[in-house]
Amino acid sequence: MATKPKKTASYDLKAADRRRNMLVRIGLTTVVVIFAVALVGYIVISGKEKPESGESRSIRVASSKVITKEGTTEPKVVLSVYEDFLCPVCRRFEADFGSTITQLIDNGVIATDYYMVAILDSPATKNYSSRAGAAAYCVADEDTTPDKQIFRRFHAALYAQQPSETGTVFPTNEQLIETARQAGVVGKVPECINNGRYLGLVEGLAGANNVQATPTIKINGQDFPYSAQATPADLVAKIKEIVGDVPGLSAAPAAPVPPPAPAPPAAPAPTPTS
Amino acid sequence: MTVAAPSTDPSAPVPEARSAVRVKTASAVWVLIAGVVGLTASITLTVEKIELLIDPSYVPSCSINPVLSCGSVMVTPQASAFGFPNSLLGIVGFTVVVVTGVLAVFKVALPRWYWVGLAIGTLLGTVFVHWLIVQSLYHIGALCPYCMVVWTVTIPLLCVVASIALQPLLGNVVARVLYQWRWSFVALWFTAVMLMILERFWNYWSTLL
Repeated sequence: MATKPKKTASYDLKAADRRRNMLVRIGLTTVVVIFAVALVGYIVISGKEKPESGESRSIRVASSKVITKEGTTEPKVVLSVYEDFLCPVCRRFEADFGSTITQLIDNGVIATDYYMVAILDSPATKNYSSRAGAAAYCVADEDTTPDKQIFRRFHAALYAQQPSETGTVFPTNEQLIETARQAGVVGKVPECINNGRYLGLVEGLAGANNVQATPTIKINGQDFPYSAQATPADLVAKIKEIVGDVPGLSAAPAAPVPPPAPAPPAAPAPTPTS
Repeated sequence: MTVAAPSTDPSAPVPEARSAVRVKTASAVWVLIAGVVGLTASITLTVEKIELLIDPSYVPSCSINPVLSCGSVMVTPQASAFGFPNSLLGIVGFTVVVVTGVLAVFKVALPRWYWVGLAIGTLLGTVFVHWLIVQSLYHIGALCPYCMVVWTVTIPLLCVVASIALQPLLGNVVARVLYQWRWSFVALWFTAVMLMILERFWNYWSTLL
């Protein structure tokens, strides 16, 4: 009689032990599973469609009344502009050609694809090229105006306040976000810039498009030889060859150039390098 | 999976008495269920394949949407990894599993070597399943529902059959811990595969939300 309760007791103990072990296993497994699901879920939802390096993507600026190829919605003339936000020659190009391009876009003559490449990235420039280029894509994403007015303002602002390539002070991400805000957009831009969503894209963009120098200008894929001697009238002439003489096709006077930061000494380099 | 050659050893009864394996009813039932489900999926896939061969415009019953689609999976080279449809392997393999399940459920003692053989066969099947998962997710870019049924039963089946086959090792501390945590591993495996599917096809899933 005395042994009976003892036996039951020891049996119950073991069973309780087993049950406890099983609960520990179930509990730990559940924790790991929930953690994994939460982690992957977070990554998947927050990292949506981060474009990969090596992909080519442009920011298209066009008016809704742009002349299209017959029977399609494809613009008849696509001007592709490959620029680096840090390159002084690009700044020069924007100063000389910017207003003409803007006018051609607004008059519906051309669509312009901006490819903001980064060929001047280096630790010394605090990778400003790629950060600014990526920021431009962030701004374009949030820009809901029909003809990308906000992106155009942001683009112009970055060239207006371009840091010296050889300087030591480069705009930080916070300053890029502020420039975007002044151009008229906040939305997800701060998050996009800080997460570096487009950094990979911008870093690989020059390679993906085989761009060796900036600015590289193409009209419907054909190189437009840009040099210090080239004028907006040359560009207009080339476009006229494609679309014919349409209203609104003319060169605009170059914008009053803000005094270039350090005056290039006599600018002997006509080739668009760097 | 393995050809279970009938034992012709004249001294068979003696070792058999020693090596006969007792299988818990739950495990036996599991083997039977896995076998039936796997066999059903394999047969369905084979039939669909034949239908597709007869009429190339045939839309298989499992082509539900761009991601869940066996039509686009069945026509790939990976679907005939050994030169013939993979589902034929499934029919042969899962038939053995069904027979084993029936014998185990009715307490027919099977020798240890038989279970070891089945475990090796299931392990090979598992390796193949993993190759198919990688191909399906990252090369073909579509999921075939019947194939996923096979993935789903193969892993727990390996867990159960390996536990039976490796019972003698339970004295070993490491083996014992692995044994105790086996269903946790299975649960983690399912989690991992589901998360891989979620991540891989997120662009599609997110359009359904």
